[in-house]
Amino acid sequence: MKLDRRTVLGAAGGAVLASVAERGKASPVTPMRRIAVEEAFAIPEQLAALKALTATDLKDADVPFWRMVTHNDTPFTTRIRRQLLDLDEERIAIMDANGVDMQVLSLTSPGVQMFRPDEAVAMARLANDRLAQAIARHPDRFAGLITIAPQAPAEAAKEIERGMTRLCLNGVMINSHTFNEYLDEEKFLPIFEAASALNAPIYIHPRAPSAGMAEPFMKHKLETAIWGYGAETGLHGVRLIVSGLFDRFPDLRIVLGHMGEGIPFWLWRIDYMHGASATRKKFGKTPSEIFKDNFAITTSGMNWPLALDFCRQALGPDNIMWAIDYPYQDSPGATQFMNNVAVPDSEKSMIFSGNAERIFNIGPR
Amino acid sequence: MDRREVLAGAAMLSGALLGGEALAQAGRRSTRNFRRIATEEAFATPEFVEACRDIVKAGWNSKDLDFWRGLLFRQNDPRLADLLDLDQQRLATMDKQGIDMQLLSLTSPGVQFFEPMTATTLATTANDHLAEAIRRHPTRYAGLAAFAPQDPKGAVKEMERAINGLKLNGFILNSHTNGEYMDDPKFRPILEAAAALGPIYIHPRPLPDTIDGPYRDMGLWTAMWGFQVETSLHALRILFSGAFDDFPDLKIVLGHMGEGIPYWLYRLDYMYPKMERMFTRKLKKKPSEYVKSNFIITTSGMNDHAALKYCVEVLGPRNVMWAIDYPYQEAEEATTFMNTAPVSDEDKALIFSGNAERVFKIAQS
Repeated sequence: MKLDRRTVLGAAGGAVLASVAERGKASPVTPMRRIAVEEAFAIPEQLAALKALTATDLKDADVPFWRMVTHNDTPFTTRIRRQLLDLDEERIAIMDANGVDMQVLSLTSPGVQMFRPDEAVAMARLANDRLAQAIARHPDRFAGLITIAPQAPAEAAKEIERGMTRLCLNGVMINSHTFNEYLDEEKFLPIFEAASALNAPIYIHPRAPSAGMAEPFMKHKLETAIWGYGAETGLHGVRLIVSGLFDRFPDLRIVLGHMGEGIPFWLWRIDYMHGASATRKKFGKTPSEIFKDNFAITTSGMNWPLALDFCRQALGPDNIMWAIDYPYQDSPGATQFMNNVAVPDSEKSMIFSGNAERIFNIGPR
Repeated sequence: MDRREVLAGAAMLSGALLGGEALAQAGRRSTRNFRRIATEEAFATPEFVEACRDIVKAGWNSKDLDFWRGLLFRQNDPRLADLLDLDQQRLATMDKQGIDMQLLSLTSPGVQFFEPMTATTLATTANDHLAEAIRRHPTRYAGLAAFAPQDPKGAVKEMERAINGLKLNGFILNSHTNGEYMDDPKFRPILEAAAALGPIYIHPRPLPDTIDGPYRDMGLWTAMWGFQVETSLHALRILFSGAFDDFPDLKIVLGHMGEGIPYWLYRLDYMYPKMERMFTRKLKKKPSEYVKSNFIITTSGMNDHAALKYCVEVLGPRNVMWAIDYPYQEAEEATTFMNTAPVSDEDKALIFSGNAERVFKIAQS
């Protein structure tokens, strides 16, 4: 079903009826709850701050994309900005049109991680308040991940606590590196202490590669989703695995999108090289055991049965969650992929929502 | 029962444990009937070792040299002897595992970290040395020629001599040269020559010093993660430069299950059309189509049945070749991995040798 703005907004009722028929066609099996877990929003203050930042000659691999989005008015950029900012009608209409029950929302990458610490802390608080308000308006349609400013770790820990206990959010979102630093650095420990104490999973979402590695990607515009995101975020995941973090916090849960940013494919080699090394520090578990116990993956941006099958075999059914990556990826594509993929119903239901309910502590329908 | 029957029985048992009569059959036959050609097998020459010793002593600081510093100055490191030997020791190991042939290449990073004149001389002598070894053992060895990208014109001459004069089978390239990649216009003649003469095996080497920071401080700059980022990015830079439109016959070989690229085909295909306008060249085909038509992958360092099955499914059985990565990885483990692989006999024969015969123009036995 072709979705454009007119169809969605101007004929919402018709769209809903059409979608019911469409849903019946696409999933001729038991109705399932569908929770998409990597769904982006923005607040006007964030976009304004990104616009100001990208008006400078700042050297950062995320700048080209955000300069384009905040300074240009093309069909793509106007749609993206509009859909990011909307936390009501259009978003819910598109969810309805595709049979999506819930979106787990997070402030779009790179969150507040490019801003000065004090600005970032304030903006994170504001984003989390706005998110909580949106959830209050639509409590059965939205859940949310806490935005934090890792560049101010003590404040970030406090915001995790506020987000989990006062705002009743469902976990934490971090957009990979912060000023070219990775979360295995000692200074970021307060973040993991807080997350661990509050049973808050941490979703590590991509952004473009850090300065120390970005240059060869940028040569051919490969620094974003087409390749760089996976290289940056996969590296971040592997750094955490070998850092000993999970010996320290055995119950910590890290979530990676895009079928685990490639790590599932490499588990054999990582285990082999880690084990064969005479100098690497060894932990209680192998890297692949850590990945299976402490990580979960999502299908965002990887609507591909073969890759899903690989991950089901490698990781088992408990730690794979479905996602769309709205509004950057289309909802029909992601939904039909999961509707139609040849996976037993019991497992499909876990991927569609059961695992997200457990991992993100989302109440029943 | 003779040794082969005992081994066959054990293989059959393991095949039965893996499940299925077909697999048991495959296990029973696999220790006997396959021609085995290992395709990523390293050697060194005395000249090369001396040249490495010279630059280590001169105090030159390059991350690649960390490895050579250890190898050259550690007492009795067996790998040095293994690299230098092209006769008894190597052949004995091959005989023990039922390996018919090794496709030999000068060990990474080959001539690429020397200044141009030294590099060119070392490449020439290494290729002569290799041709000599093949003359001594024509049914046991084939070879990939070294060349010095630092001198592109000279490289093309040596490539022509290696194939037309020395009758070698292709080329070895250890990823970047002074932080430069084959998509750079100055290297175009090399790609053009390769399209006419033979495949280029792009083998890993550590990332350039300027861009390995995020990997270095966690010890992830080589086989744990850095190698595959470096090598996969190199291959994709070539792809997106339009080289396969210019030279449709150009073949690139990638080890380690294609350096992860097969895992990401969906995302490459999804993102490329959205970013087309930003690229300097508009490609005629989808990225995944080039991966299937112009890349062939090998199993080096990834003795993982799950990854193998996945790659055979995604790329087709004609695009996967077996390798050991001798002497850095164990021949026995790599051979057992492929002997017991859960693929049909027909595919096993292709992967063990049929594809290498075709790709590298190795005469059938």
